[in-house]
Amino acid sequence: MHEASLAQAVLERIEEAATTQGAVRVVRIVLEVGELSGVVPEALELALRCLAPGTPAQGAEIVLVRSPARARCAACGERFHPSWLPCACPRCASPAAVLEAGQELLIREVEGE
Amino acid sequence: MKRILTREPILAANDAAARAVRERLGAAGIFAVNLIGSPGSGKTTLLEATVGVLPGVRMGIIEGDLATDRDARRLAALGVPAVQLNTGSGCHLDAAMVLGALERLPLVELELLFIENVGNLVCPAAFDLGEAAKAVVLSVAEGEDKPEKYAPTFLRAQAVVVTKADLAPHVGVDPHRLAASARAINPALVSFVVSARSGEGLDDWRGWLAAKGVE
Repeated sequence: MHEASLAQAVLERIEEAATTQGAVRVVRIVLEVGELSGVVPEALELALRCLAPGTPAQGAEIVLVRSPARARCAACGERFHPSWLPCACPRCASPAAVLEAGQELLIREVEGE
Repeated sequence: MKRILTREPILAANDAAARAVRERLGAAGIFAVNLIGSPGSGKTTLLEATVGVLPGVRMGIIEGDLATDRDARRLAALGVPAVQLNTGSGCHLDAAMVLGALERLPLVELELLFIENVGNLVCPAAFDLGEAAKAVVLSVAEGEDKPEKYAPTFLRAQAVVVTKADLAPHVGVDPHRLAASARAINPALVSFVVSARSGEGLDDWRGWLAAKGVE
């Protein structure tokens, strides 16, 4: 349930940016959550909606993009999508995979007016 | 309409505080380990045993719990400077809390710092505390399937300590298979199988800490 802490961090950063850039209202918030980040997008969205009232982000459209995990086989170099871990290479069955993406937790963009 | 933020980590503020922690620890020559594990996995007992096998090492401890200072008192009773952080209802420690706790420790006297996170196998992994290494503490009684169920935490760690090895025959779990299931998630993990009660495996754990420049 650290989604509430993450939502708090997002809203504080947005409030700061809105103030310094003279935006009175935030229109759109786009966040990127990696498949293997350990964060539940629905819980993060709920936390944002609960905590936004009283901040410039109140009423903003919230978009959560779930970015896919990507692994590279350390044995044969094959790139593949691991649905969860541990994962074996679909080409050579080696269990030695290097995770290249999937742990992201990003503010992708925020628009205000 | 204008863009007011573009592509930055959600935890940028925490990351900045973690950098400040890392700088202070680096300047003081302190190796810091962030211990992550479920409530009851044996984190505090592992620390008590670690104090016992590293008698010459100047160690400090930051304890994280929702409430009570019981853990800090257990370690202070062994002569270790220990600071208790209470998060109220918070499920993890963050770097700003650790930065504040450093003010209450005699950093110039220390060479090893353990940060015992709030008991939780999910949330603490997302927050960099400025540590040099994350170690997951997992007891045999939790079962062999936990690394697979809680993969993100194991992905971000450098070590896994399988505790309560003396209970293995009673709970029907092979501690070495449990360690192997963690390494299957993250092949870079260094694993230890220990029992604070019997002393099994504590030499290897001490050896790993010693190799990190402690002792």
